[in-house]
Amino acid sequence: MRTLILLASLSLTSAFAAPVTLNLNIMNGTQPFNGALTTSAGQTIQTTMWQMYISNVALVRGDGTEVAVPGLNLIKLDGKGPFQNILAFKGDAPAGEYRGIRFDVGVPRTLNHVDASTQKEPLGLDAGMFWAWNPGYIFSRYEGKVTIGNQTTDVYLHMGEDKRRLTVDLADTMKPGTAISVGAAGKTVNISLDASKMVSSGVNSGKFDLSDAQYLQVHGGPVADQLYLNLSGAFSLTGAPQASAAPMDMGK
Amino acid sequence: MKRFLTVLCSLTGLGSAVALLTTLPVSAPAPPENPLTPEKIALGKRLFFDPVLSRDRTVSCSSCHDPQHAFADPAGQAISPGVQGRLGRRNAISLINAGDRGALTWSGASPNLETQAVIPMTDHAELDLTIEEVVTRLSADPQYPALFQQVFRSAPSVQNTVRALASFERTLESRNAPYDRYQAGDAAAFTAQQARGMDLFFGKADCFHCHTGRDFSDGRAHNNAIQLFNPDLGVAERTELEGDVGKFVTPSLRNVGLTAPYMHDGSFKTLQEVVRHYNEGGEPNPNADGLIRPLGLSATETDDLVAFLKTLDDPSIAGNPAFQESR
Amino acid sequence: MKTQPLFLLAALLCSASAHDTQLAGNVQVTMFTDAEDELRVGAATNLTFSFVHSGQPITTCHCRVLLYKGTPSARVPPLKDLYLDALTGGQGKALLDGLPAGGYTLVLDGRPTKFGDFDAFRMRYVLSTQSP
Repeated sequence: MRTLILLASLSLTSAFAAPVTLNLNIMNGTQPFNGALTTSAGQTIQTTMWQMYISNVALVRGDGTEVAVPGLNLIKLDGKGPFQNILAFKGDAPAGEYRGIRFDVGVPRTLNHVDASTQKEPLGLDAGMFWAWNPGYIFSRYEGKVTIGNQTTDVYLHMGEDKRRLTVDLADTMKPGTAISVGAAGKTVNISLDASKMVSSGVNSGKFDLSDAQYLQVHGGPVADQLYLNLSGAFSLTGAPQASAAPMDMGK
Repeated sequence: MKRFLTVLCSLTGLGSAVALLTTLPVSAPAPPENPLTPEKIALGKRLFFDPVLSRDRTVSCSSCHDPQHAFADPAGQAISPGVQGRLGRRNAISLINAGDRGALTWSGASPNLETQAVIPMTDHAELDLTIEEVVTRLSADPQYPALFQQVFRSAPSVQNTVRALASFERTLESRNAPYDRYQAGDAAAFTAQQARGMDLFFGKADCFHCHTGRDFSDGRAHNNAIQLFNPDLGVAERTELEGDVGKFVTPSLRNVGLTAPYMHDGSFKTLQEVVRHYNEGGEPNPNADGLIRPLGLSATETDDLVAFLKTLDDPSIAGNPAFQESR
Repeated sequence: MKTQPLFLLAALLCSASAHDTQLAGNVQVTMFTDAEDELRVGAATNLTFSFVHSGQPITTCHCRVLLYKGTPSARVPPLKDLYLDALTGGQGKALLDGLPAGGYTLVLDGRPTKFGDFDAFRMRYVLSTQSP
């Protein structure tokens, strides 16, 4: 009898595993992002690359408990886009009613210190996300070019290290309005990332001013801490909840 | 096992072929993900000497890691130039026996040769390619796609490029210096002065505290007080910790007589200068290692110590055909 | 290999208050300033160090004084870097001038002119400027 119940519960669980997709739209304030990123000091960066790891995804129930959606994905964008309807992540989760979703921008600690030369993509060296001179991965690798006066300079905004793994919490357990219903066919969750927030504030309440060298090549230190703070307010849930999901696979 | 194979092949007359490797040479242990094969070593050696991996096609790994100078900077250069003559910050470390070391680079950034190889390939002042450009460059080459297929059964990738390079570097093993022969029992390998110098190294001069083990490095980072303050942060550039500012990983002293100038920035031209620095007790750097203090060596003792250091040089490296670019 | 007694300089990195006599290795060091053991803002401060070894005032030393704003950091050079004047009666002097208000750390690095006269030492003093 016990064996029957166990088998039944196993089959029930597998029958309810459904694909959960994070569909990412990058914004620039209220407008869709088109590659031009303007800092709070009024300088405009032409994006040439933006790559970001998404991992540690979980659906959050109304009582605060979580269901993990296993997997890790690397979003790879170049300067041309598109920057909307990007496949940020896809994984399987049990069907059910949830109050929201949360995920990390970055690589979990257990993977962040492995030998990248032994890993498969997207954690291998060819992803271009491994800091050769520092153990660990670049969690968000943004690059572009800015023209100030008549000088065009490269901008590298690289954020990583265990302390800057960004947990994005898009689950308000108090508000049913953020409900995510995962049916048997799965669910696409629409997320927005406001790119302008990444370069909205500088350190010590100053401006993110690219004429100051510390903001041009960021790999760590106080400006990377600021990137972390800036990005922590940049993600949000968008769009009406959708009943089913055929993932819109236009991501890179 | 590898040594046995080499000896066996020699005995059976296959010889230790140099241009075409039929057996594995003596080498550092390889990780399971990147086993050594003769073909992989040959590909890595080709890449090591090939300026294709640099932006302006003028610089290869061997430009800074010169076989004639124990795979360290060519004669007299504190910093070897990269593409367009750009100068980086640090003196190139000898690659001899590097496959046996853990913390590679002056700041201990890389745990192994595979991950270390990415650093110079992508450094603006060295080879100056992006990860993506390495793949494009090798894929467009008339010969590399076929070679990568042969060795890895796939198209060129950064992963496999560094695996090949690391495999070649693992064969850069050499412990055939007078010091090794003396330790093995050949009393004639040392002069009396060199033996006195060795006693100082392991005694009054306290060098052995950091320069320890068969390759004369503890593999740890120290601030050896060569500067009052450290514009080059060393390990702290990774860890962002105040106590790590100015700490650099102890380099191996093997072939030290062949790899002048010295220190992470090549600022010490001669071994005499180096010994004098330690003898005087260094600069009062806030992070100076506690062992750095005046030593009280006389002029004769300084000479003896320098004489000993030169017994760590293996002159067979420069002439070893296995270490030269294959023609 | 002979084992040597290890004189770790780290163990000798003593912290002291002004006017205290501290044992730095085998040297007794006393430090005082002519501004009630603090530093002057906008005017020169005279520092005096007194050194005694084996009951006798020492006659020569390679004694260097480094002044840092706040806590010493290996990232930046000290604000002041000077050697003590020649010792008289076991005392050496230094002049510090032009200091803005604030907290400082003074590092005294002492080495014998002739090896063996005394053990090298390094002392730290936390000093602040006088309140107006």
